[in-house]
Amino acid sequence: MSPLPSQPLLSVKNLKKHYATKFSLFGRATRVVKAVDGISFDILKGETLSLVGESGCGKSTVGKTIIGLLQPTSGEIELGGARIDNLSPDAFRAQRKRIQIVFQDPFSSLDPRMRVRDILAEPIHNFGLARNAADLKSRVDDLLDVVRLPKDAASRFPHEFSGGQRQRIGIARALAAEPDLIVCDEAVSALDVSVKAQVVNLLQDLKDRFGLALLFISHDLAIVDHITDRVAVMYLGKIVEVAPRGPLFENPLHPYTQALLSAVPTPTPGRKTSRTVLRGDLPSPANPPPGCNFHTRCPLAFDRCSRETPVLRSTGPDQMAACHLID
Amino acid sequence: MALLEIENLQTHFRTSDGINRAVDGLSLEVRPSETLAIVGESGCGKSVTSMSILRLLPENITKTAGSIRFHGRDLLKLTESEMRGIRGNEISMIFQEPMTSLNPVLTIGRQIRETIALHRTVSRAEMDGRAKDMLALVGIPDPARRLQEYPHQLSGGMRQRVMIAIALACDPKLLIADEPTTALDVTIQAQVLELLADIQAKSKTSIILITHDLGVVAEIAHRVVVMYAGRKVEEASVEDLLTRPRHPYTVGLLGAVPKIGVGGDKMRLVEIPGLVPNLKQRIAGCVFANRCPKARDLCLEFAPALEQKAPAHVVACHFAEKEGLAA
Repeated sequence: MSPLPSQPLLSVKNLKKHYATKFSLFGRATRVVKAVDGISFDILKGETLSLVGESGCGKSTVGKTIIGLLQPTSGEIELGGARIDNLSPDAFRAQRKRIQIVFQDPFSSLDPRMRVRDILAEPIHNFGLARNAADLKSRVDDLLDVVRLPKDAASRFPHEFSGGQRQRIGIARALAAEPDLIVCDEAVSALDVSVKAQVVNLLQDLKDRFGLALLFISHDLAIVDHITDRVAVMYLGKIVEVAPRGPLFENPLHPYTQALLSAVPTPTPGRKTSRTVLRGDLPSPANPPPGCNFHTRCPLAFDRCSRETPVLRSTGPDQMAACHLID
Repeated sequence: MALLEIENLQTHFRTSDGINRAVDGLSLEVRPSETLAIVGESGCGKSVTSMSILRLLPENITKTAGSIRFHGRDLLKLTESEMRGIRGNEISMIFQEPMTSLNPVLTIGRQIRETIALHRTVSRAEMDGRAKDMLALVGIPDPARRLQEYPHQLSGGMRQRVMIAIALACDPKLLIADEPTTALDVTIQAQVLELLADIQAKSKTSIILITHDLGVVAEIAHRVVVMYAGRKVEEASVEDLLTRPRHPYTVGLLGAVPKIGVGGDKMRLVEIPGLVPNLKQRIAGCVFANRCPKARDLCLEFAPALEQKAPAHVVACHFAEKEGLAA
């Protein structure tokens, strides 16, 4: 059965990931951290969806759950219409080829004792993509070419490369499996400004060239504005707003999105006058506030916010927000 | 008169494979109650500069030359015990990592008192009062209780506030903030930047802000020094630098920073091709020549001198036009 064009590539439904951090004498969980607490979203083929939020909001947990590094507590993950979250390890292997990941830290995500050639050959070999040794070699050469690394890089070790170059190796490794979706977990956050620009441009080119879908997990809204089609904003394990790039950056609806956007420093002189500086810190996800999670820091909170949890509701084409102010 | 004058500072490290010229002939001055930002990418020598001012570098492998005059005294010529009287007292420092810069086994109160006890002869009660005042100054709610707590009980933003409180405990004339907000979330970064600006307005402390983030520079700096490969390549007021950058490196850096709202569909970021040069090799010409779009033969042979190209705007580039200067 070929998927219909309107069918999403990846569909996440009411995904939850809870961690028990304290247990009673009889092994019952007495304290539970709700890292991801019931989120749903779709990614279409060739689309970039960005997951943004501050540290501890659960965005990386979502990424790790999708690629199968973590087991969800509940909820469903569908890839091309078929569930992948409840598969046996063997059955999951075939699906894993379709979703790859690029990690944040280019220093610890490459095996220091493997040559670049072997790092790139490993996924090709694992998924049986190469017909013979010559095919394998040409695939590795192509991958290096695609991420704009010199041919002689193949015989070198990761420590011989700079941070930006290593991140290119990481991207090439993700591409080696010929995936449909790449999860980029803060993939450019550790890089210097000029190198970051190189890698962001590269990701954009690759996405267009291979029709890749990206789940771009980032705390950096300015980068997101450059790369994304749609954005989902997370706060304490929940999605508070989802919108296409344009509306989200021009007309954010949720007060948290507004505050997040206004907190980003831009290199234009003169202090911002209309900045909303949020007071206080992110509450602990082990003990989230009642009602709307955000009401403790929200400049617009009123009495209903501390009693009643707002649900995501549609506010325009493809746009949804969870806030009592938009009823 | 300038508070701090650095003249022709050279900080070189002996390494197993040659001399690393981390800072190579840097001159700058910090005026009373101003914020001077030193901007550049990893390895440009900005942090080494700050460590050189406080003489925190390992002396057995470091060779420093030039002069660093603070209130007219050359810090490089002081004895170690004279230096101890200056550190944390007249010049203090905030480091990037609030997670690792505090001692995990001592209470917050003890760590603030330690600084005061080193430099002032006051009673325990006075120290406690001062510590409490400092926590209140940096916006920590319920300071009396927090004094009894340990670093792990505080969030990242709170810890950075405690670091600032310790740094300010002895009313320093100069505060060196080395990437003070890099490890923090944007909403917390906004709070800390606001705090630094407030403190400066109140106490007239001069600040050297070391950062790679031009957005942060625009937020609180008055003047900016751009460093590249251990040298100063441009210096100007913040407005001038951000709106009329003259060095091709600064132009590239500004183009490489993604900005919210101007991204638009598939707008590419400006890339600075190539990599930072190896500081272990002597560079005869301009340090930026191998990555510069404007470079000619001249640039590879002769290093451009730092020249005033516009009022209060100094640039080291053969091709920066003069403007607005009397002939």
